[in-house]
Amino acid sequence: MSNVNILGDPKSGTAKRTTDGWLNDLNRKRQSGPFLAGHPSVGRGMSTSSVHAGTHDDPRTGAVGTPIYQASTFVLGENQYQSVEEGFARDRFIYSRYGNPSQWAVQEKLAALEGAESAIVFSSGMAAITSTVMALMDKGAHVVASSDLYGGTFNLFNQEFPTFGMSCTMVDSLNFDAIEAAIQPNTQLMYFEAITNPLLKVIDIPRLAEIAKRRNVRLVVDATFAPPIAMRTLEHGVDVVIHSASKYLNGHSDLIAGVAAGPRKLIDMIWPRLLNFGGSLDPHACFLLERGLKTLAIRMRAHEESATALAHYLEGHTRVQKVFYPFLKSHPDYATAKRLLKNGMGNITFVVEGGDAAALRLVSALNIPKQATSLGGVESLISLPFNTSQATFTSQQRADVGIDPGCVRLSVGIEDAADLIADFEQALAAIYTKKETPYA
Amino acid sequence: MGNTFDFSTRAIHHGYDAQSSQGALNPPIYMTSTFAFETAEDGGAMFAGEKEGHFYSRISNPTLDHLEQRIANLEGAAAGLCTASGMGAITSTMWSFLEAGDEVVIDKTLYGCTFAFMTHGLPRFGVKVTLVDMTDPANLSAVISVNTKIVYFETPANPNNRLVDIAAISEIAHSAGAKVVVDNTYATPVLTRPIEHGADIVVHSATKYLSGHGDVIAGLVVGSAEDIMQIRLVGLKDMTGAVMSPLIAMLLLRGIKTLDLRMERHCQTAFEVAQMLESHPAVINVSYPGLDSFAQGELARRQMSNFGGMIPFEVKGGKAGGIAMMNRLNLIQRAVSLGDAESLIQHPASMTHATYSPEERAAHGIAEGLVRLSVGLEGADDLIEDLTAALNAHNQQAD
Repeated sequence: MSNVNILGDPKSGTAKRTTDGWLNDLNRKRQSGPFLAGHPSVGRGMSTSSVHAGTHDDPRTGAVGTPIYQASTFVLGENQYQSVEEGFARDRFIYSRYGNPSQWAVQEKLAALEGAESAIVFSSGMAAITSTVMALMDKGAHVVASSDLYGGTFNLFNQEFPTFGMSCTMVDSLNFDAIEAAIQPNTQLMYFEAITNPLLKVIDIPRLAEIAKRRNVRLVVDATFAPPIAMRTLEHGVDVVIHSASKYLNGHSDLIAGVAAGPRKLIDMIWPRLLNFGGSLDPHACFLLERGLKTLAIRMRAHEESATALAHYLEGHTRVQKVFYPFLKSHPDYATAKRLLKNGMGNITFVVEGGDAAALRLVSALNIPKQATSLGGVESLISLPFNTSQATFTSQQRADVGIDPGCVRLSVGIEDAADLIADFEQALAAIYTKKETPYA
Repeated sequence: MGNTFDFSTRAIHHGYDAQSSQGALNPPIYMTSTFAFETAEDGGAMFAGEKEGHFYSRISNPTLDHLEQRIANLEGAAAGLCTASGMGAITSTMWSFLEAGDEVVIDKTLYGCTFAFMTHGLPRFGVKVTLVDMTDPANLSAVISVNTKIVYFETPANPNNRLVDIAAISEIAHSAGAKVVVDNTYATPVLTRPIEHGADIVVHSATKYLSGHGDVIAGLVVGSAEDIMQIRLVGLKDMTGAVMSPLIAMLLLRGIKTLDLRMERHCQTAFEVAQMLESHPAVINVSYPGLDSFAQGELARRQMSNFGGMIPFEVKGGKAGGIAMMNRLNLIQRAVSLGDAESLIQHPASMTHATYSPEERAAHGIAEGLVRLSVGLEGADDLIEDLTAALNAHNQQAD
């Protein structure tokens, strides 16, 4: 019984390929995908892509928007058996850890936004990172990475790599000579974050890409702080871009997800690691992520607007010693930010007078920002590196990486700037008028 | 969080304290039908209305409670109520205050299903329904009586964007002892808060802008605590049973967080699209409150802070012309509903307002060739390109 109705991506993996000499054609190109809706809407603006790309209007019922395919498994036909046999199983639906229409729809939207041939969603940003890194490195390989890495990634490289005979050298991501010098004969990967946490250094990615290309090393960038409205990271020569989609991409602080996007060739290499490590994203979370992405473009504009206003306000406040926001002229990487970022983000880091004790009082005195980790949601979040993200550091280690006492991490949401400024105004006034010394 | 905060801030934060729910930044989804009583006496006291608390999700639920508080705050009302659809909101409200022999006065232009309920549904139960053109409040004065219990209208009205002066109508209705119920689906509380203009009760199809993502069917009602309690315990609990699922309440709470941002973009893009349409030779007329040509410009500026995302317009060639033009569109989806991220277009005479007879449509200002565009969140350039291509082709065909 032949399965005339090809389910999955009808453009790819037909049986003809194996008999028409396709495998022997050196000029063969991998096509983008796998996609249901028939990828990128060329020439469309980012807002239009946010709304439409990938979204799979159900052909059977005409339902506008992707149905939630809450299914663990799929009925198999001849074509699905063939896909497993002949190696195009990623292009068919077999089992939801392998692929699911709800995953594909949001993957296609993310690929269109990043300008990528292919993308995979994961059950967390860390799942995306481990699957990507382990796909692109062999036993005994070495990675050159930023010394400012997110803690979870830092732990992966330091604690898990030795198990696989892998190693890592961490360097200042602004020091290109040190980066070059760290590359060894067994270096297979350079791993950096587009904008670092918490000091919001904006990395010159085109320059990293130039080094990676010249030294024949792959470059992976975690662009969580710079979603595609701000920067299409792949356009700067990066091989694979990763996001914690829990942050700006979803934008509503109500799910945990990750994504890796890049050329079909590399994403096809990452896909077997997804299968092995098991970090697949549930269809219901895919639905919520796709829904969140529809407002990505307008949310990012609002984040920038409120964060810029608040950053200027904080910079002018006498009790605030330093403000790090890439679109402030005082930011060390202002020129790089202006060159690479088409839109700002909501993250601001600043240092208040009076050290960590004063910072603690400040976060308690604020009414709008919630004290919580994570970032990129519609609601403002605030936390202190000394007792959260860099709590395991000694004060000397914090000083070494540039985190001063009194350092505050703020993720500005989409609330009105005037409300946020008024809230900071009252909180800063309240904590510095107390009788006891704020320097305690 | 008090009312001193701006709209967006309240849309994100009002009425939820994370400390009440394990510190979770977003409220949990209370997917439960019923609630256990600490003692049997407690249960009895709740049923008797002597003790507050949730006891069955057809009556109240903590997730719905968050949404009710939030929409009430945004509309400037004391209380709110969730329903399973906009029609559920409308009928639960009407049934709660009417009995045989009562009178209702409605505006002549209403959404098709509302029109059907008012003109066919209510009279079957002995309620007298009178239609007037409320764009002139004097028409209401002429028919209102001591038996009039409810005055009902939409502004802007579906499908042709006619506006009704909420303050003027409320004054006349209140002097006769009638309640004013306004369907605020089109304007949303971002653009108009009818309670501030004197209305008593506001109903919404929350399916539209409030959700904003075209993925739920839902309704909301706001008003005084007393009126909302009456609708909850009579119209909703005992008559329509049109109860919202807690999962849908979560999606609506999520949608409302970006309402202000989305409305700003809808309005901005709609204005650009409306200007393009007005200047296109294939278009006969455009009814958009932000255009200088709009007949009720003064009222629009007085009652609305911006002019919405809905554009009714007529193209050359009547009904066949409108339908032919719609079929040439590529980006804009042919679908009913409105207020989504996706732009949608439909033909009222054969779709949303097919419940009217052709004579009624003619009398109510709904032209047979009228098409209704809901401008989404796509880039304005992309929408204008899609419409221009379809209209250019249409114009060549028509010539």
